[in-house]
Amino acid sequence: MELRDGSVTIDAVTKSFVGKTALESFSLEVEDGEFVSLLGPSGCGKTTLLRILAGFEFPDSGRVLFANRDVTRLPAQKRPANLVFQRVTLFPHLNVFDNVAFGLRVDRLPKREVGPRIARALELVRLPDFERRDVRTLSGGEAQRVALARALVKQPRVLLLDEPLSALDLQIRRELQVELKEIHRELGTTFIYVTHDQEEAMSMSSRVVLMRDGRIVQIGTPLEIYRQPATEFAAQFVGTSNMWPGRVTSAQGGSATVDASGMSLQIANAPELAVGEQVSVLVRPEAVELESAGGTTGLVAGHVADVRFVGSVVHYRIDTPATVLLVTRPATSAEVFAEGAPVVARWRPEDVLVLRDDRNGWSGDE
Amino acid sequence: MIRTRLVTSAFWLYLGVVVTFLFAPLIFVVLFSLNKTASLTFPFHGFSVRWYRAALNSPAVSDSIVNSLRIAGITVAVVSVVGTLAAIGLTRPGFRHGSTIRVMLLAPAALPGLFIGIALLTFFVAMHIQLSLWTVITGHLIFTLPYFVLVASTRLARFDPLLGEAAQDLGAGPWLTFRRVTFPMIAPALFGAALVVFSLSWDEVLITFFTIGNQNTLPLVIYASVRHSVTPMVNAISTLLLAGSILTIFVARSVVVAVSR
Repeated sequence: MELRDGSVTIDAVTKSFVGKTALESFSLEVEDGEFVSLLGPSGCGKTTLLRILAGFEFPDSGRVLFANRDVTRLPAQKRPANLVFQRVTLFPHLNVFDNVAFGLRVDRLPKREVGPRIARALELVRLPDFERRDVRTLSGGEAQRVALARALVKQPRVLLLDEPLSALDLQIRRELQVELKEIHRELGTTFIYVTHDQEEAMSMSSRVVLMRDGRIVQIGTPLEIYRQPATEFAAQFVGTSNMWPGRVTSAQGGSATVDASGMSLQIANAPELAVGEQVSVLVRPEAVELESAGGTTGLVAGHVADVRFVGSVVHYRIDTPATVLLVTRPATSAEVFAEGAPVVARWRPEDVLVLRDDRNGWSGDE
Repeated sequence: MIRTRLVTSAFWLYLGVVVTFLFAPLIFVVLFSLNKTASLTFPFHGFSVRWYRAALNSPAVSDSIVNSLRIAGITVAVVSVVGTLAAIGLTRPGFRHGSTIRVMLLAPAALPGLFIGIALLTFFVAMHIQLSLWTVITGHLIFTLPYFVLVASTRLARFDPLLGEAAQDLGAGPWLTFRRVTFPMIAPALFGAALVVFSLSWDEVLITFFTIGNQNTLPLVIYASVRHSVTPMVNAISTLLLAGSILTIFVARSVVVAVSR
């Protein structure tokens, strides 16, 4: 019996297609049992990387190791990894049972073992009693569950998922996100999940690999990336934010002052900054507090330009003389402001993030 | 209103003329194959199946039916294998010179049968190859292959390559992927194409005429008997031929329709 180690090593993988570089010396270590998301805009190389892991593409240089074994040149059918595709790829001439059985029959698993394995796999994706169903009668969500069962029934060490939920309705997508997470917890298989949806990546994975132009922008837990985005791109891709270019006017120990958009911003926990340095400052909308103008003084005064009530939170757009401020407040907060209301906004110095210019390092011009 | 009605009646009249023109001769053939007497003109003397019995009892006719079936059967078998392989090659992405080879494979369909027949005869004579049913089969292979390749490659072009990748991902190599996924999915279209090939071969006259030795096929027997005396027996044989063709075309069509749905 092979040791069921689901670790994956990607070592300096480079891949280009007719002159266009998809991946540039890309390295990543995935530990056994991790749920890693490859997150990035379309064209960032995440799908290419997944196809290289699946064995459908082969890198120009670099190596891929599964459980420390070099599989770089191994074709897909010989890898201990299975893929769930973005589009429905069930075999239309087979019913649900035969679709899920496909991989087991290819492996010549004894007949008496096939039935129970399939029953268990379908139970895992919550489709018991679907065995005899014609796959052409399945809904989008059901079809992807069957595809998941078809991949998982082979008990791969690594499950690769290529935006498997992107074609589904929001509600079903949310449902399946929760279930995928549960399945991952139950099986302990390594999941490598490709998505362009930051919410999906943040809510499901133990680690997020943020990608752009074939390179890694940042690796970290969802919280780390949210709290300490490495670059402007990372900050903007992961959640909305208020971001202003500014100039450091004073820096001392851990704190600093930055002039940005006519505001003088106090910063706590600042990195090493030099007076006169050009930086970007970032404030998350949910870190901003709002109060009626008058009585108290805030950092910025303005008026409410737009109110969007979204269930648990209220999104405001505040027009100030110098800039536009996005604010998110809980719907349960004491005061909910109406359009046109004069307000003052403030935030704590600890909630201001300073980002250095991230234009060095890649050639992206989005 | 009157104008529209006029246009409508004119349309129906036109349609009637076209349909009559198309089908009246067929009806005559079938009708007189059932005639009691040997006459091929009106008045009609009543129904009988004597000409069918005569046709099937004639050794010349039954031998020719066997020959025709043998030729069509072997043609279908060979064309199905060769055509499927050709279609797979042609639809493979990145196949060099694919379009040139495709044109060459499909060209015989555009060549006049007379030309193919004479060319083959010249070739066989020059190579000292004895004319036989096998030389006929060679000719039939050449002119039916394009039809099969056309149908098969059209179907294969619609085949979702991701399904092949899914099979591969689940552990199937190229051969298993073909046997378990590609082939079952394109089989109905191939079956339809095979039936088309059968009906093409079944009633082919020109190429057969040039490439056959001292044997006969059913269409050639009909052709020969029409030349000296037309009896209702010819009608009976023609009706059988027609029935065979209609049946194969009908089965082929319904299979293809059922699949493309």
